[in-house]
Amino acid sequence: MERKVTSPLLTARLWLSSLGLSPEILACILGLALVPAFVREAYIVRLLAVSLLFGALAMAFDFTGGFINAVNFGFAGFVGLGAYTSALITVRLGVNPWIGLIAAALVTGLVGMFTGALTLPLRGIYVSLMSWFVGMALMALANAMVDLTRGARGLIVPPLFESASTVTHLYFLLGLTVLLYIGLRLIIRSRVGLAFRAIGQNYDAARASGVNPTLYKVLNFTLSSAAAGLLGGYYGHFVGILTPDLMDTWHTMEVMALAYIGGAGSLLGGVFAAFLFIPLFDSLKSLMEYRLIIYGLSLVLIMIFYPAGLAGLYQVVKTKLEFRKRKP
Amino acid sequence: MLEVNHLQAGYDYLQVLWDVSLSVQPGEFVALIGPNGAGKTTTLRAIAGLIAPQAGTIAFEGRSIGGWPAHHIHRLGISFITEDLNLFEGMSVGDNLYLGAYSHRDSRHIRARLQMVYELFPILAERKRQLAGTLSGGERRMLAIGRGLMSQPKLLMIDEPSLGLAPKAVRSVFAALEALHRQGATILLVEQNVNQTLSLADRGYVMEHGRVALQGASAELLQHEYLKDTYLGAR
Amino acid sequence: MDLAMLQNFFDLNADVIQVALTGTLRGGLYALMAVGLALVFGVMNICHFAHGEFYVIGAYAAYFAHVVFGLDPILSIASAAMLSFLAGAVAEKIFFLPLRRRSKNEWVINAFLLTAGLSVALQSLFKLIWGVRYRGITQYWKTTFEVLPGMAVAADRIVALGIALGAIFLLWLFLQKTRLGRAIRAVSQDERGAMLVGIDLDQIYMLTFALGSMLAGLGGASLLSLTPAYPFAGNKPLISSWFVVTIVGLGNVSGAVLGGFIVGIFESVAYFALGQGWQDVASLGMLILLLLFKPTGLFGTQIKSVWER
Ligand SMILES: Nc1ncnc2c1ncn2[C@@H]1O[C@H](COP(=O)(O)OP(=O)(O)O)[C@@H](O)[C@H]1O
Ligand SMILES: [Mg+2]
Repeated sequence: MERKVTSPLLTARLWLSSLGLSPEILACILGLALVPAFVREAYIVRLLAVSLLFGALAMAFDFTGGFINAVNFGFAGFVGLGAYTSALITVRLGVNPWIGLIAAALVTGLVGMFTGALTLPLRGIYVSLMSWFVGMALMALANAMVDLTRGARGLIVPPLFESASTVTHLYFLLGLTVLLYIGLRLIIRSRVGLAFRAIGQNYDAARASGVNPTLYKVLNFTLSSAAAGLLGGYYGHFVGILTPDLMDTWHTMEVMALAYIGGAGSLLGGVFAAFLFIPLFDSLKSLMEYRLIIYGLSLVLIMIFYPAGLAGLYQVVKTKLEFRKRKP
Repeated sequence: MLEVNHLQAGYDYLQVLWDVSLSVQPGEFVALIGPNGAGKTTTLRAIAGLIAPQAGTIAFEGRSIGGWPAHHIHRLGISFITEDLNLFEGMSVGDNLYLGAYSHRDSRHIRARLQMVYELFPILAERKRQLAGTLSGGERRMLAIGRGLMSQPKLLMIDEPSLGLAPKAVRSVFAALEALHRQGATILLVEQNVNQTLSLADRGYVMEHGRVALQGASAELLQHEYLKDTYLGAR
Repeated sequence: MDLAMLQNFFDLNADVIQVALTGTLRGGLYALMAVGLALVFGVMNICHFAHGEFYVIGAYAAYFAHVVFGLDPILSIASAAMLSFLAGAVAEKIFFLPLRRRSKNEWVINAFLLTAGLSVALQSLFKLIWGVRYRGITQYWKTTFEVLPGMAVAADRIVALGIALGAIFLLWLFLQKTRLGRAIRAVSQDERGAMLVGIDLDQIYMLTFALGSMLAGLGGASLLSLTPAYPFAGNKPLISSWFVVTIVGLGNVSGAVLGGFIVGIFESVAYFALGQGWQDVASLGMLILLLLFKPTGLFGTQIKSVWER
């Protein structure tokens, strides 16, 4: 029996949810998109844009940490590489910043591929160590090549958009984050994603059952780094000045904390964590001083008491609510 | 001395022991036999405190010890020599033996125990500076038993000491157990080799699917029709 | 012309000696820190990222003991060591004990992330309490040693090297000869075996972590005149001691001693040859190459089992 009656609304909903855009998520996106219509303060809009940027970074981080279970401890180095690539191409060669952004993604993806290949003979914690060293090497390079990067004095980066309105940034970052989410999620839901998880859970068993860990590990690192590079490139044009300090390990920690507080392997968890923490710190100036203590302690507490993070909490609450709905 | 009553235990969500009751009196040599996967090792692990019982009781010298941490139970006087021995492979034979007496601080006492172990297994005295990881299979078994004896345990639990050994080594291990028993040691032995085990032990329990299926004096068990059919007849 | 060549030769030699000396003095600290890292990893399977913070605790403790309470140098350093021992014990009880109770699988990665969070939190806490001001002293001992004709080295540096070597030697004695030391080694080899001979794992873990922290604190205290106490003072020694344990293989305690001097001398040579900026690039480059060709470290230990845990 074929069912002929298909409402276009249902089709649209199915199509959207196949992209990972559930009604809740769509509502969040819509809500964010409507903010500039009601809120005049550029400061708030900017805060939301920054949260989106950090959320997207946490998502790119989680793509490696939460799925193949290898913490890229040099993540900030990759972000910084993207930032410097785009900035240097624009500043030194006078190329259009948009091309700079693409170059940032490509170069960082390439270095990510290289790092993934470097870590091939390594497993577990050694992968973290190796990527940490690569990240620190990138930072050391940025510090050493003063002629090119101006080192700690800072490199002035031209903006992406003619108009300096933060609203443009918000919309652009919103689009970028949504696209990144859809893209990463499609990969996670495909056979490739299955292989990622298999590697993450048991490397040897995955290999024994015919998954080629080499290929998938390199692929994962490449994609995650390319995303980091793209976002880093954007960051440079967004803030307008770059110093090698951006690549410091504690920036990795910040993103890592967001990703794990959000919930490892949840992609969106980190975005929600970013929207929770970043505006909170900013609105309560007195909290700013405690920012890193709070990040650090939250990471510690999450690890000890609730490794599932915000995403896990959300799942629990959702199941409870649905259970209650069904009861009466 | 040891009283296990209606013990249930397992691993995470897998229950292995459904109803195990057994007892060991001071000076007794008791055998626990049964097919592979029956739950013999799991029973010993629960008694030694490596896993916590889900139900039932374990009492040692009148004290209920179910759920106690392993190092605590060891200090009460129960030594457990595991199937895979858990030796400290990167340390010398001597260090392994010293560690066996970890809960004792009286050095004279420790030296006396060491003497006793070296008398029981002279080969260990020869190899006392060698790393435990470099010993042969039989020597490793002896070292594990020796380490278990260092604390002068009231109850010695041994899991399949003949596993993977050449017949000659098996004989010497069993001879050592017999000698210990004659000196008054209390032993709970797990084995698959039914005939040899029951010829040494005073009493035996036969386990199947996580339950005690049969029990009695060794001589009776050896004559038991069921046991003859399933284990002895097959050999 | 001959004279000029001779002069050059002596200059060069003087440089070589200077570089070797700096490297050795630095190597002592790295060895000390790396032994702590290796011990904590070998026994507890923790990739300790907050090791540098215990170095800082030691440095602050020594500063306050010496400058504020006016204790003499040796007492100041000893009390700093004791304090970092206590801090390590407390940190183990508060953080790692509950983590061990709750997560059995994924332990290595979870513990590593925990130390990362702890490091950030402690650094900011130090900053909050003591600000970013440098708290240092010019010298504990106001003399210099003439190690070679015309080459004087501050007594502090020599004593610091002596303290480092002495502490490592005492640790070695403790691990080899005492009941508790043997128990620590036993736990690192077979936890179940250790439990079954009556060793209380929780106690041993606490002791191990405290000892490791004490070594770091000792480093921070004894080098107070060279690197003052400030919230982020631990980063550099942390990174360098991680170099060390990586090149000798994680968990290799005795290799860490030699590795400390290798890294110390390498850094000092790289600094002499390349200058400040490129020295880091060279060290990191060497490390990456080394990991690439000898993933288990120079002295290849049996660490396969801990890779997966
Ligand atoms: N560490 C473990 N984790 C999970 N299951 C186990 C473990 N050890 C044993 N088992 C299971 O428990 C059952 C009984 O095992 P065991 O007690 O070793 O039997 P026996 O010693 O009688 O051969 C088996 O089905 C085995 O698969
Ligand atoms: Mg068994």
